[in-house]
Amino acid sequence: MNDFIETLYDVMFQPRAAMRAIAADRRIGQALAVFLLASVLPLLPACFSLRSAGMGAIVNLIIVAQVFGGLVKWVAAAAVWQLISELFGGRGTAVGLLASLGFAHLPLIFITPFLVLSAYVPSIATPVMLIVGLVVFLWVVTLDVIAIQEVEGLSGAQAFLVLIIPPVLILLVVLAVLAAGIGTIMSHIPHF
Amino acid sequence: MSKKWVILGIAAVILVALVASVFVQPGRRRNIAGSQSKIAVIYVDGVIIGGRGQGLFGSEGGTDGIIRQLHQARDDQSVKAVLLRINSPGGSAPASQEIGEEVKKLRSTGKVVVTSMGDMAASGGYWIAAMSDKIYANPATMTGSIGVYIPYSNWEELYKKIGIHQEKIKSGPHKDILSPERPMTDEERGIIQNMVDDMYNQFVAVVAEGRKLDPARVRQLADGRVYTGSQAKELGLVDELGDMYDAIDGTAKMAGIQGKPELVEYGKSTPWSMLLGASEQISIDKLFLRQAQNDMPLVAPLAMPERW
Repeated sequence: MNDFIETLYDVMFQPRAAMRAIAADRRIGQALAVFLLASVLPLLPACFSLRSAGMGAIVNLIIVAQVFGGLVKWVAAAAVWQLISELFGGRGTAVGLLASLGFAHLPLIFITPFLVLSAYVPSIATPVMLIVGLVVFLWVVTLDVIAIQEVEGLSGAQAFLVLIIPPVLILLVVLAVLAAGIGTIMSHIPHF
Repeated sequence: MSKKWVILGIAAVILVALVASVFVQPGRRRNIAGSQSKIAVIYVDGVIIGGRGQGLFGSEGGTDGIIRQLHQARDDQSVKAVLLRINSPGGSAPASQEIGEEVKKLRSTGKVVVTSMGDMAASGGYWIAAMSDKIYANPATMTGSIGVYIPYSNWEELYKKIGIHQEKIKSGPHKDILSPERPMTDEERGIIQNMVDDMYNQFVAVVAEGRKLDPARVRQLADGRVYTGSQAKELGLVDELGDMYDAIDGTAKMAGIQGKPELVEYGKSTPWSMLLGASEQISIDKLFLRQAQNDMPLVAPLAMPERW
């Protein structure tokens, strides 16, 4: 337990050393615990509210969907980034990367108190959640980059490229499909 | 040791936050759906056209979307009244009638429906407004134009000039009625006139019922002319002069809503739907050009002014 607590501290304040150690020890169990906490805790304030509004049935569905979806995303991201890292000359293991990326979910836990604050003070909810959301997003992305860098032995720039290649590819495919679709439809619209 | 206390401190803050969210949620309890009376604002913008509209993928902008919003307002227990914000020159008569009937059904559930006219609420736009409990217009709003027409173009001479000869092999003598390639016969003119007269009588009945006017008086006013808002008020075609916020205040009073009412809008457009969905602002010129090309999206009589 002490070891786990110290790892959590190190992920927040000494992330490079922490990610190296997590990958080397392949701490999948601890990574899963962090992932579950980060997935479920931010949902709880909204779930309590839904229960009090008489929508208890949907709460379980939300939690299950969020956990399952997040799990799939976590494992898929690790697999894809491991593959791309190896193309860049990375030397890490998939399990080590998976464990490190699990710990990279940690900042999401910090959304929870701000969600509750927003419920008490709705007038500041939007700006607060925008700022908090942005900070947490950037923090998670930074930890992802550090995890890839330290686990695979890549440079910071290479690690960042590994991170953004999949979403950029998806965006390009979507744009290509859209362009093809619009082109087909435009050819059938009557011209004046 | 200090690392442990930092983490435990963070955990304690999160735990306190979770406990606070369980036991005390004053904001959320007040905002539980159905606990506060609301006014639903539904926009009727642009040319009124039936069905799903005219967008790139044809999914928004027609009366189907507006009727969906009326049903949402009907089913929402927290909505006590509906404000129809009409800014339309009119459009398809059947489409205007569809919305008007849905407004009537909504009123029969006990909810108040008030119209606020914008720049214009003429013809089909007025048809819808006439079905509401109260009408607000700005003094310079253009309204009225109570009447129906079916446009017809004869391109025969032009086709002769450019050497086009068109023929139709038809199943009955009137199947190509309103065809632009030939003059209309007297019999066809009579058929179309009967249709227009029928639609006009329906329009007069709607205005007479909605505005509690004698049908004979409505016929006097319904020669197709446009009125300003202030002229319409003098004639009994609108109730009050004022802008949208005057209409909101009036609606709240009629619905018995205390204090500043909460407004809810259905069918808000996202940037994505604006890119791919229909625009409600359909060009009148393009409509008539397409009609001349026998490619008319509106197969119905029109309740809208020909010229401004």
